[in-house]
Amino acid sequence: MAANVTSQAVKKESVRVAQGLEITAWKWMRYSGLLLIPLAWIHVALQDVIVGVHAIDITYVEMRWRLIGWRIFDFLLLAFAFAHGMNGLRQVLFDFVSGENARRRLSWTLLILWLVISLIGAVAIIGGVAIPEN
Amino acid sequence: MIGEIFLVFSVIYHGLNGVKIAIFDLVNPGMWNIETQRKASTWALVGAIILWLPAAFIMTRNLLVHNFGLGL
Repeated sequence: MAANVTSQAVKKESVRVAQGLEITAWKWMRYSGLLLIPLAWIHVALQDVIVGVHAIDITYVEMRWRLIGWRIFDFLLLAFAFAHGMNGLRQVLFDFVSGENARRRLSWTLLILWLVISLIGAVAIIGGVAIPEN
Repeated sequence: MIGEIFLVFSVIYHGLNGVKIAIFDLVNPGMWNIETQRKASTWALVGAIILWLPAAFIMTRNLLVHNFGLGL
């Protein structure tokens, strides 16, 4: 019976959803996902396909980061991709972790992990590359 | 680097499938029915393979040139 119901077109009904952090996160998964299409795909096309990992070394990074535009690009990619990924991981782990307290601890752990690694990335992008003289 | 070739496929497919979900959720949630989703899922997979093939070709070539001494 359930199969018959689901194969029909979904009846249009407007539903009131309680506003809150979870709804905001849900919406931003869609927004950041759409934004990540140009960000992540350009990054992959450039670094993995066009330049290739064989050609990436500290000199290449130094050259690339001379343009402020690429630093902004990398910063946006770091901010959106990692937040998107961490929230996605949170959603997946929620499928296995039940209970209000456990989920709250999990969310805080992921948030702190996200913050620490984002800060390390931000330090790298802002600090840039210093090629050692020898 | 062999793994990277499959990583690129995963990025492309995750992207197209995600765009599919985002469009249905944000633009027309009424389209969440089995018939439309079957078609949309197939197209996401087909599109991902089509976008991946040229990238896979270039990356495989790079791999052969740099790691297996293919002279080109």
